[in-house]
Amino acid sequence: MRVPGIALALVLSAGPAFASPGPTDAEILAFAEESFSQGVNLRDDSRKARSAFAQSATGYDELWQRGHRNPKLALNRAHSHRLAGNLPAAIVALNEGIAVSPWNRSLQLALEDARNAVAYPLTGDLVTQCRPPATVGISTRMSPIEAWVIAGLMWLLACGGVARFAMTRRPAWLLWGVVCVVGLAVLGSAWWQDSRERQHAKEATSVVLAHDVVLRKGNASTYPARLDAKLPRGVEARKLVERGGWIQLQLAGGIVGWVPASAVLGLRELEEPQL
Amino acid sequence: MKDEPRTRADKTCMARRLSIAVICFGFILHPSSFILSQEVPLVGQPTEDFYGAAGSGVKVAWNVEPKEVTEDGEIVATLIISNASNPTKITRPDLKKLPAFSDRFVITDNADPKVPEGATEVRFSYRLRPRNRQTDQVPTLNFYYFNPAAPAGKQFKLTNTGRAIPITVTAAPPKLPPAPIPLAEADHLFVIATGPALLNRGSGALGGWAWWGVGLAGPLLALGWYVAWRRLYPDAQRLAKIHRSRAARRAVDAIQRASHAAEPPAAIAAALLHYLRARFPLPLGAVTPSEIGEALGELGMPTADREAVAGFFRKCDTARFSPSSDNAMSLATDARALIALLEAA
Repeated sequence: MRVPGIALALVLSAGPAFASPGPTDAEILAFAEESFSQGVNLRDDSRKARSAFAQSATGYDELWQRGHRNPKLALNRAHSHRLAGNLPAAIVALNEGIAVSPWNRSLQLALEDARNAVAYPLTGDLVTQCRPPATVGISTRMSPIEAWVIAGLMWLLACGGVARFAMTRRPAWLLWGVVCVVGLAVLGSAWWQDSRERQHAKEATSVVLAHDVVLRKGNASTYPARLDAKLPRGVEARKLVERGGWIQLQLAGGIVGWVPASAVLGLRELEEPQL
Repeated sequence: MKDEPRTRADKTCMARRLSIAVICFGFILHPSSFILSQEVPLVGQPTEDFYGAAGSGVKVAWNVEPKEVTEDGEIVATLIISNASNPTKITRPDLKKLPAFSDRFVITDNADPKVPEGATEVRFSYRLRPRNRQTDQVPTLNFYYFNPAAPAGKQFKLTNTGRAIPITVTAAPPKLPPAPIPLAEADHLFVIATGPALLNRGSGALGGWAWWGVGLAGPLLALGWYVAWRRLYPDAQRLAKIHRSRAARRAVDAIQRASHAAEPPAAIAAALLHYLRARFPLPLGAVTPSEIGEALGELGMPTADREAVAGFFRKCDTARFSPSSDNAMSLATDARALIALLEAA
């Protein structure tokens, strides 16, 4: 059943937690895809196109809120937000997608591309202070399925080596089994280490600046600026504390300062990837 | 005598000078002295509509262009003041403070050129944008000026720009929408995934069952392979046992390599003899089949086994020197079986 686009848009614009029974997931998906398609057709008129893409992003956001957390949806969210002119929301969507599927190469590339689109000043070293380093680990290179296939294969080979040793009594087969087990141990320890690092990163809440803002030395606009230039929208930072409507941030380069709480977008509760 | 008329002339001169001084002083004190110096007296000056103009017969007039304007357009109204004796000292009337104008128009002062010395008229230019379509005129502007030639008390005279100048405000032309600007984003952003796969709730992570499954599958498959192998190759199992003996393993390996030797039967016989010497303390002189058989008999080997060993060496000799004898492959099989027999003993 097809839901009229306007009605669906009204319902969606009411907020993420709209009353039940609302449109089904399939209807929201159809609405989002249709809006995106309209935006593509209106590509020659940026004003109309951005409006259509914003509607599409609303639909995809709603699906994400409903628990359909998969890499493809995260990428669609990011593309819709980006085309709607909302770069910070696109970066939030990509970070949330990567939190769910850190190994997804498309999400990694899209996040890199979005970070490149942040309008840093051409002069000064603000970009080096703000730009977070790319996260590299085994979980960003290998999906759980790939890890399962590799580990399973190594385990089967190890067991096969032992069986073959039992048949032939040749020590080489036993050595082969040991090599496979050692490989398994290396793979497992790499995952364990990566998991620890991700857990450590998760303890710090990440935020994205929604608009250009001055980083101040204290939690009031009367405090002097920490940096000469404004922080551009889309900058990612770690949230340290919140006090009096202000948030203390730490930039990737280590600089700490305060911005109004209204100037940041928070990442939603991130999901730890499961092996 | 001559001093007297000089004194009289001096006195006359003094009196004349004094009278001139008195006249000059009185002239200075008289209000009309301001007139001659073109200064407008503050006394009696109107509080409104006076902009510092002085002169006799000062005239003011509006020059409005165009007379017809759209609702969002502007007209240029120029106030022309002529016959003023002090054109450089006339201040610009602030129309924004005059409700008759500010209620009708959004007023913007134009930058007028500086009035040159000796000019006979002054022009002040305004841009007037009608506030609505009901605006129908540029109203009359009252204008006081100072006439020094008029009798005292009537020197500030009021004039005006004459009748209000009618104007016509027409409807604004429909605004053309701004030219659309294409969305300048990378092409790959316009491509998204579609379909029901977007409603998946999984991120691609595997459940614990997958790991338990593969963990159990390894040993089970290995065990199954081993059991099947034992059933399919029972001799191979026995052969495998002989690998427990280092001498037997080496002998089997040598037998396996014998097929590549120049004289396979001799290589197989040598491998078996080497095995026998490793397992049993054979004398070095025991090299022929019968000598080997006797030596093994002295060591307590059962007769059947002893005969089998001696028979095998005879077969090897036959194969070496008789072209029609057994081939190397059958000898190798026999040798492995013999080793297995001796290992099992």
